[in-house]
Amino acid sequence: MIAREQIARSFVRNRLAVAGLVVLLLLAAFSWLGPLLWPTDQVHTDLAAATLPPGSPGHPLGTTDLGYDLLGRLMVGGRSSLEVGVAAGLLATLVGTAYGAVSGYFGGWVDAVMMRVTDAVLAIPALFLLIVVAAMVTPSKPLLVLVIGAVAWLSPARLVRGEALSLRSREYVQAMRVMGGGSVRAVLRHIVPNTIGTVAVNATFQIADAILYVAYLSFLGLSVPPPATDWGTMLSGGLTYAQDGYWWLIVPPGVAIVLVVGAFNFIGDGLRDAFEVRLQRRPA
Amino acid sequence: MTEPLLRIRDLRVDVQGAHALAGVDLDVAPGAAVGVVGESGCGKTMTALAVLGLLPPGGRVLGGSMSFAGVDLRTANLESLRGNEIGMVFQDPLTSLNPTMTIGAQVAEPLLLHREVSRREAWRTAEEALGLVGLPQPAERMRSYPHQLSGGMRQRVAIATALVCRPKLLIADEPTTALDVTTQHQILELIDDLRRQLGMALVLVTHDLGVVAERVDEVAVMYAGRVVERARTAELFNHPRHRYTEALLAALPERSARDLRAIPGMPPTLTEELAGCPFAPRCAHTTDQCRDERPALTGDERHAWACFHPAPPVPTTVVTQPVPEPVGEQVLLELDSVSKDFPLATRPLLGGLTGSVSAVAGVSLSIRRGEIFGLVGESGCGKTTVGRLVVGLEQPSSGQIRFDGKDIATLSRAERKPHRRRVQLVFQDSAAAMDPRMRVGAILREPLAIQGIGDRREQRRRVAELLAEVGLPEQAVHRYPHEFSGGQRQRLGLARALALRPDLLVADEPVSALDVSVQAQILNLLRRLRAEHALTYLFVSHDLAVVRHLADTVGVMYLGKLVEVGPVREVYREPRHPYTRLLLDSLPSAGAHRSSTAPGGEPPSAARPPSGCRFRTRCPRAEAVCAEVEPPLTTDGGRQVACHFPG
Repeated sequence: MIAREQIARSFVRNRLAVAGLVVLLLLAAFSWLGPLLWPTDQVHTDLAAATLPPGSPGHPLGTTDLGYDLLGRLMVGGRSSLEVGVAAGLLATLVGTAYGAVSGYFGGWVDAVMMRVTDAVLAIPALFLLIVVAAMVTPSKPLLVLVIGAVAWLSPARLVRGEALSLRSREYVQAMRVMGGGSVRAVLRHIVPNTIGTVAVNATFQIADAILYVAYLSFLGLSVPPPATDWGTMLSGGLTYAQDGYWWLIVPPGVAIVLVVGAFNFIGDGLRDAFEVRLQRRPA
Repeated sequence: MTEPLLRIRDLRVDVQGAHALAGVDLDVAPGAAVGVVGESGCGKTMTALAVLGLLPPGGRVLGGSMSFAGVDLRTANLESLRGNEIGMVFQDPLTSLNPTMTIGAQVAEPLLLHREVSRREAWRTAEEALGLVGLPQPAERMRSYPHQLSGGMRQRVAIATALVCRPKLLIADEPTTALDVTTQHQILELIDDLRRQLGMALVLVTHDLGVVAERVDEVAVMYAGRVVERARTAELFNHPRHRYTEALLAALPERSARDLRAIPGMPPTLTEELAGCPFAPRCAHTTDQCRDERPALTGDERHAWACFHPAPPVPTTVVTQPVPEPVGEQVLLELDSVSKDFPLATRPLLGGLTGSVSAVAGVSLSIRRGEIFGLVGESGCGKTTVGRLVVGLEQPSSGQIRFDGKDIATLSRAERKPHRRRVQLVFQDSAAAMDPRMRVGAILREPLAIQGIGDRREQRRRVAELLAEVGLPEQAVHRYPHEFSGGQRQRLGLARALALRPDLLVADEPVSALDVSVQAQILNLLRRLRAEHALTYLFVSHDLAVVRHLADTVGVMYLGKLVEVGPVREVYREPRHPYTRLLLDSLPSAGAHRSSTAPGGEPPSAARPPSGCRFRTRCPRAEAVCAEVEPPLTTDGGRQVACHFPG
């Protein structure tokens, strides 16, 4: 329905958004293609070569407290972070959008009940929920995605519900009802597409947040099991040695997290402008 | 001629690259009333704002001169003039009054700014001013806030604020556009009255030719940032010389016969400098000279025009009544004492209503096949709700709506969908009624897709057919609604409503957001479509002139009740309900003479309607019985009226 070239065109016009996209692609290439150029052993520890500083022979970024090569470890960690972040962010956005659109479109008691449910979930502190989960199960990537998704869907749900509430009383929705259209068409064709700007922006923020969540969770001990790792786990592990001068355990994963979160935020801003059909200029 | 109070010469203003004003000349003599008229975007408001030094951001004066009582306005300290020597009234009194300040403080504010007076004196003068503008109980109103007053009352307050310093010149920019017709009449009478009392000059800026017709001494017609014609009022209306003025008058529904003479095309965009006459692309008398050379304002003091081929100075067409189309006898739509109550406040889950308001209270009417039924009334009278009930967007609280003999409330689910094809709705604002994310092609295809008519190829063909029918190019399917002008969007709205080949079209104020020249195009289109498709219209409008032009039968609503129904020609010639008479007397009309009975008051709240006859609180004929017994709608020789003392 919406011309993809036009959206792409106005997205490309936003320099920061393009920069964000480039950074994101570079980080993805680093994580997945990097090990082909810089193969390292990320399974066996090597305590003899632990905490070597950057610039050591064979280890340009140094080694970790267990002797893993840091550059190679960043690549492996990036995979988990990006995978979990993107999956959890998308899951939360999908669930939240559907939930919010239905709640807002039907309004009345349906809306009242559905929104009380989100209030109830919101009332439970996320931290508490996570600690309980951490105590009960062994972590894995799909589990992380589910846990983060379960906490994060609330914000898109409330955002979309607010939009749907105002969209459903728009005259074009009424016009469609006069033609004989039903609720399913209203939600799928008119409500959801008109929230797409908000949803797309929120999705990128959700992904950025999910990557940070993975980092929080690793502080609670709920992270991908070793020898796998992610940037958050690396960061929290490095903080243990903050007083010992091993700065190279902290700064690289920290920088990676800031880069990826920033990149997603810029992309979100660009998408918001790109989806606003009314701002688009028609090529002469 | 005496030295003018306000003198504008060759005023040129640029707003963000657009030539909003391209050389305006205007004189206002002391105590004179000048009307500035034109369609939207012609620069009339910009002229007023330039005089006041209130140009919008990005606007600047490029050249020309403006002087007020000998003072150069381009260099003067405007703050000492505004609200003091020059008063101003804007269109929307809700936004021009500060919601957090009391009425008294706002009216007294100019005095405290411009005059060396004590607070107490300012307060007293403000109270006087409120009395002068006819606000009841001014002393109590001084402590009210703007939201506690009705629109008409707020506009009175705005006028009081403008007048409190006794200005020499009052600039009123569309002062009555946001108001109902009876309130508009009151406000215009008030401005007229005060002008004579205080001896001030008036510049009345409006798009409504009817408003200026009998209120001002002189009229300046603007087009594309220029004054194209200026004349004494009667002279202008009877013998317009500029071809644009002539066309504009011919497009007025109250002045012309069956088919309105619509002006083709749109006013020019002002971003490029035009070499010739700006009206040339839309004019029927254009020659090469018009395209290459700009006509200058020629003529004398009494009448000047900027046109190479002016209309001959003979009287223009006289008012003729349209002949109604022959209408069948078969009843298509019937409303039987239909009511619609809206709850005033609800709390979902906890339940419990706290009162309700009857937007429609027992309306019965019938519309025959092929008929155009005009439903008129002031805002809040329930006419829009009647339209929404008919198309099924609202369900009646009681009563029956029968379409083609069948009660639509008893239709089964399976019957309802095909029924939807037969009744369609045209909205006032087609921009709001179209999904901004959909292209025109998808918008026009949607009704066909919902009803499952034809495959994709057939649907495309039908869309092209519809576009041709309403006079839009086929390439329109690739565009978004926001890329069209108001008139074109209204054509799209009509095309979409016609897609399902309905029998009945409910049109809710379909032309009230449009300029006169475009309005005429749409009215002609509505008329043509009815003839070609054997359509029946329920035409909801607040504009009595439009209804007179288009409708066969008119129904007048007041506070949820139908008070009079009858053939248009008879009702307009000889209204029988006092409310209908009031509406017709309030109708500003270009050219036609008007009796000057000053209507009083405003409609009471629909939440607490008066007992008995709802109109009795404003009625000159009201007697004791009116408060006790509600008059039923009685039929008498093809006309229906609900009044104890019909005229």
